[in-house]
Amino acid sequence: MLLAIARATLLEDVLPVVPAGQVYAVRMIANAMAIAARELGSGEDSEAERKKIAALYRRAELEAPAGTVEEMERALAADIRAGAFDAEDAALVPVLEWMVDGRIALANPRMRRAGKLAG
Amino acid sequence: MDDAALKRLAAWLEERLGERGTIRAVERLSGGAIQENWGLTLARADGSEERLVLRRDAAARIPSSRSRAEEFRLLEAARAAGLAVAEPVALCEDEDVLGGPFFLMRRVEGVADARRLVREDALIPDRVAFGLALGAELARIHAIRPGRAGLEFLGPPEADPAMARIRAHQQSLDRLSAPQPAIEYVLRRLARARPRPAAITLTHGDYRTGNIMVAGGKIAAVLDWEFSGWGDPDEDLGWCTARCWRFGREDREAGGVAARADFYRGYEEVSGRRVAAERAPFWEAMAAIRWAVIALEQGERYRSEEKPGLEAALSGRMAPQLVQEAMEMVGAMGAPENA
Repeated sequence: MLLAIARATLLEDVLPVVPAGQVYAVRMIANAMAIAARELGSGEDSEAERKKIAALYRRAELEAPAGTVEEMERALAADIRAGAFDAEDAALVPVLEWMVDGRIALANPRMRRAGKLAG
Repeated sequence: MDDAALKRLAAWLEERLGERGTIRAVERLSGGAIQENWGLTLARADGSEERLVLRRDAAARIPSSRSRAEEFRLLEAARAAGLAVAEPVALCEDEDVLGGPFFLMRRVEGVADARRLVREDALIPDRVAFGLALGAELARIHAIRPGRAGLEFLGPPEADPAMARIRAHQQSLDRLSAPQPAIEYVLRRLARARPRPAAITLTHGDYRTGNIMVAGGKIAAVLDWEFSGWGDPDEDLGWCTARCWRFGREDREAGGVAARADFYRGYEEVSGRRVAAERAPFWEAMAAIRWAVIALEQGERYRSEEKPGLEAALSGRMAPQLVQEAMEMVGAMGAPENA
């Protein structure tokens, strides 16, 4: 994959010869490339997330929001704030934890908690 | 600061502090993304030197932070109350001098670098004594109560500071482009479980390792008063012990520099108020959310900036870990109470 090769070149060929003052910047660039590569590959998760959010709404006997994953997340966020899920902690918390774990996996996979990998 | 700005600054200093000396050297000091700090060395007529710090707004100002004029008045009040703060010297609200307001304070020597204070025992040889002092100093800040002369600009205190904080975070979330259902959940849980304020006092708003200048193992000065206001003193306690401010030293729960028990004991000895340890998860969860919201704001702001910085662009990626911490903390608070 193009980004992975570019990143490897940056770290293996360029990093060793950059002045000390630029090492931090090069490492940040490599980190940003790794995040971007993971984000590009995360498309499959969105269908799983749509299903999980829809199931939450069915459980709470509410009409599930339509639209993209982001639109569904936006509706869920607003309904949580409004208290629509106050009685649904047992179902809601695992889904939110799964969503947060997914974001950690993209941003900083080394910081993932063990045992939260199951979908 | 370019030559023209330096010239205007020198002229202003001459007018305001002429007897104190003339500028001998100017250096950029480390500081936050929100404020710029400059070190000024003045040469007095007798040849001796005086070291000052000039503090002004950086380009990326957080709207919720206090103005330089307000921070200067807070420093004056803190100084008058005998707190460990840098001595405020002069305030300039004339924007023609440096393009924005700034103030001068006397420079305090020491180390504020959080990572060094956490790692290097030579900087804090006695961490028990330091924990006690960290608590005692915060208790002295909290001894300042509404009605204090000179602090009228802080306005009337909120009756429900926890809810005010939650509402402010919700408004911040409304300005972000990406929805944050997990943060909404934590805020909802916090709103339903929120404690009555322990008291209403002056709160520092950013009392943590990194904002404490240390010299000789002791607190030399409490820095960065830009988030101060009337509030629940337990919020400062929870901010200082939050996991996100331990800089990798999870075992030293007071900011990675001291034990929680020593910090609380120092606080209790000076304040005469028992610290309600059962409230800590509430304010520590709030701390993680506050930091997460700031990180997300910084991460989105880069899109609208003229010259986006990669570091700012990456800062939003810290948020999910903070949200995870907050979710664990509200989970530890037990079953939700009724709304």
